[in-house]
Amino acid sequence: MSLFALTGYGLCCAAVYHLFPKKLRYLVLLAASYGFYAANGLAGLPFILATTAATYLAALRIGAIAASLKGRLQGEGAQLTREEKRRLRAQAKSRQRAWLIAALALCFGLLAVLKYADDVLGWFGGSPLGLVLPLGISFYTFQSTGYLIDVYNGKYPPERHPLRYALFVSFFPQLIQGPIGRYDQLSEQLSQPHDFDWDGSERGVLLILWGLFKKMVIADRALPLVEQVFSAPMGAYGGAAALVAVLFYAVQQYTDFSGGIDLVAGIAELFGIRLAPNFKRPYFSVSLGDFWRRWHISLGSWMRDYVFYPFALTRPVTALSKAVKRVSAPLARALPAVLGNLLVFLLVGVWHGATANYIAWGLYNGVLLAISAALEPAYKAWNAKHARLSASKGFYVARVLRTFVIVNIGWFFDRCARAGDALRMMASVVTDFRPAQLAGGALLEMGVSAVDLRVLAVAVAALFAVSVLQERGVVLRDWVVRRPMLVRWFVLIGGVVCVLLLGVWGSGFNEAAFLYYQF
Amino acid sequence: MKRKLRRVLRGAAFTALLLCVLAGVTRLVERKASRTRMTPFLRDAAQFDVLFIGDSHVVNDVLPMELWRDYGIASYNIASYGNTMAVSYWAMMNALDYATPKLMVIGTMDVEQNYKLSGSSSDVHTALDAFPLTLTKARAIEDLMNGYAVDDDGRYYADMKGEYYFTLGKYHSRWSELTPNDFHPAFTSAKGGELAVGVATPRDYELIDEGLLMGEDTVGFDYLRRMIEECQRRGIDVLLTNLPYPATETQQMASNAVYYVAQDYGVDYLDFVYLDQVVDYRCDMYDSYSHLNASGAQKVTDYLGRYLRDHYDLPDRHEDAAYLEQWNADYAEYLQMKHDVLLRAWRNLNSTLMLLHDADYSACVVLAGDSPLYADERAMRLLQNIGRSHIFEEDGASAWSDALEPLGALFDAAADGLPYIALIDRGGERMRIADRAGAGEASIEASFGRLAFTAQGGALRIAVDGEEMLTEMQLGDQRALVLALDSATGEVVEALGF
Repeated sequence: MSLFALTGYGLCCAAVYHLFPKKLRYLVLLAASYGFYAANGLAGLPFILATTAATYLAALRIGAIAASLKGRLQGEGAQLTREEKRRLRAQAKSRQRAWLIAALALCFGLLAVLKYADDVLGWFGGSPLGLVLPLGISFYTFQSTGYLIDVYNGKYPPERHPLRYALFVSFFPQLIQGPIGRYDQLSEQLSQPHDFDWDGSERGVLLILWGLFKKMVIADRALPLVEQVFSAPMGAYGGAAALVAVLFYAVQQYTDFSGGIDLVAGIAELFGIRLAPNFKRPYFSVSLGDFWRRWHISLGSWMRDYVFYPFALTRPVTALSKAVKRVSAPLARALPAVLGNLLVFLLVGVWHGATANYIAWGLYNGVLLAISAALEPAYKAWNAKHARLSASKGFYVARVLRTFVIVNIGWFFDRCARAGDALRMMASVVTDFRPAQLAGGALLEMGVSAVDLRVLAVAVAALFAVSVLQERGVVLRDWVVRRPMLVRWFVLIGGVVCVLLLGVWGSGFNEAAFLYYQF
Repeated sequence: MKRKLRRVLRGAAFTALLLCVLAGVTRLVERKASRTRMTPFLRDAAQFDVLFIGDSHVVNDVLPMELWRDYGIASYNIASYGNTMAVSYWAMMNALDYATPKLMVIGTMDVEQNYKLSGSSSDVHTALDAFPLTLTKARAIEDLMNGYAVDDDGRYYADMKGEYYFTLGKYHSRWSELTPNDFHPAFTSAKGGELAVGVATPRDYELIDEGLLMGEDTVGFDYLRRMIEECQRRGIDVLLTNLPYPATETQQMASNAVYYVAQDYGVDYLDFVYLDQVVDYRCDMYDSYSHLNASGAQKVTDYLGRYLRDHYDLPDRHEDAAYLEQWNADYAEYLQMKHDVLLRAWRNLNSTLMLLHDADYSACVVLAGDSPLYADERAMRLLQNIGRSHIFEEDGASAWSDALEPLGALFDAAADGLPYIALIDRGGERMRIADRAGAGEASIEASFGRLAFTAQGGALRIAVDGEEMLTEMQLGDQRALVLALDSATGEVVEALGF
């Protein structure tokens, strides 16, 4: 589904949503979500239905076991010994765990088979099965399993209403590339009817336009250069081109992903629903850890809550930490974080693809974060010693630039097809960097025109300015919505015209799918 | 309730404003080719008694304004470059939403094509873009683009439908190349005809037996039949025509088969490929294989005009006050375009000579005795071509005027290396040709006065009725002077020394 089709679909569904009686509105959303899913390929429907049913039923069973235990403890509690109570609890937990593991195995099993079967077969010389990855399978798998784990942990009771739960899993804006919603933040919003709110809708439309601007005007204009340079045989371009390409990729990657998230978040706002934020100006980060707290936030928090902490608190890690404490107490304190980061980023790398470059990219981030975690006491001590310097603007800018460089080194691994290519390209930036490689119109032979470059320069400058304002706490959409009607209309219509004229779209162009589409 | 109503009105106002802005932006950035050709048609659609439909041959070969000048026929050429018969059919269907012509002249050159769309998606845009989005246009897009046709870039037309419905999808990136013409587009003053400037050597061809036919039926024939049936259903006369070009055997076999289609439906068919005395391919080709230049178009249009006048009940709108003022003003604009865009822009001897085969121009040609043009076969032929005209026989066949080489003294001058002066005067009732060889001075009676030439060395002086018009005109390498005179007023439109 094209960007405009998605936007148009969202607008139409929002109009229908607000025309329906309040009691039925969540059903409109459900129908719109499954309609959207079906329009993107009927073959994916059985998988989302299977995941929904598995997590719904497992959560119900886990809830029922908890309720049964609770009832028994309340009813017979006085007659039971402490040992018997502990045994009952352990039995219940064991049964709950069995349901949890069964459902997780089914959901992640489906994801793994569909996502990695061809890669694994390829390693062993087998023929690819040509399985089509259903739309949004990673996102709804993470979302529904997160819900299931929360129910298992007793964070909230299971959802009993199957249709409301199905809506939580399938809400169509988030199916494309997230964000990964949390049940306790999203379900209530989805189920409750929302009145039409003109200002809210304008805010939603502004966010949609901003998302389209990022995706169509910036990301898709930068894309040809990125593709051309990264797809060229090694040595075809010098180090200067490699540097330009990775910077373009940094811009393209961010604007593609965050633009898509803005678009779907804007569509959700048309229904009165706020999705979880997924980006918070990541290139303003002062450290790699900070970057990952601002980039793909919903995945990061999912990994933190359902992988990092559970892993860090496992008995082997705790035991190892205790063992290391005998050698070094600070290292022992940092060890769970070090190992947790390594595991999380290894998983994130594998999630991006079962190839060496992604694993290298994941490990690169994991190792750096592990080192950072291990050295954190030293950083703190240094900062305390040089408080004035570390609080200065110059130091802040230096940290931002340093983080940007570190992130871009990682992007080489992310974008190159092979880890070795990434290393060679990075090496060329150091060993074969000559500004003359970009002179004399050489840049214009990398897939972009002079018009593309001019538009990109202006658009990225606009993005930077808006980001600076956002960093300072200015919410531009709120500012616009408070203006007189004609000003607001001018901004809205101007935004539409700007996106239509400056954006890359239409059959004459290669309108690129979102980078995280069908992850 | 009141609040709800206000919301609805507010939403409607915003939507209306947005649509207006988008329509304006679309109009601004669109390629103007289609609108340039079709806006005058849509503006005055009810006026046209004859419509010409077909591909680029029809565009280049049929000049409605010449038909107006000579025959008072109010016509419009709605043909478009690269049209297949299917696109022509749908262009005609869209045009008939606005116009009610008495006669539809259909160019049949493309009947041999067994596909709906050619590879040039831009040509399809040119044919359809200017028509407002209506049910007919939607049917056109859906019918034309429902298969697996691809354009020259390998894109499926089926994937491009959107940009035919809403052209912003195609042209939105043109904002960086807008010109003043995009802000103030100039519409054709030629009622759809376009004069091609250039003189090419025709490819070799041989006429085949008229009984040899194309064996298979094609998509082109299917749409040709649909066009005839649609016109007949609406009570519109149909004339099929295969305009002149050096046709290949296959093309001739296809055009032979059209004869039987015409017979089936009881409509006329003019196959110019066999009417081989209408144009002279050696002077009248714009390119070597198909399109006529302005000289050829003048001849074909002249022939068609007489044919339409003699065979169809078409009103002479010269006698209609409702037409006269506007069409004469349009004609003046068209004439100015011929002066400015064609004659004054093309500083090339062959093109200039070719363009002077035009009833709007009288011409004076002066050659020095040592002019290399005497040895240039093509230039000599183009010189003769200026003064050629048709005579028409009653059976519809045509023959050349009293001489294929009306400039008789030209050969004497060439043979003896003498100076040469000719006047082709179209200012009177009939064209009058006067030429002299060997004169350093000459005086010729013209419709606009007595024209006197004086040649001294390499310079020429020209006077009309004793009043000097040009003094010290210098001859160039070709040792030639060409004067284009407005045939009505005798004013010098352009004087070129070659």
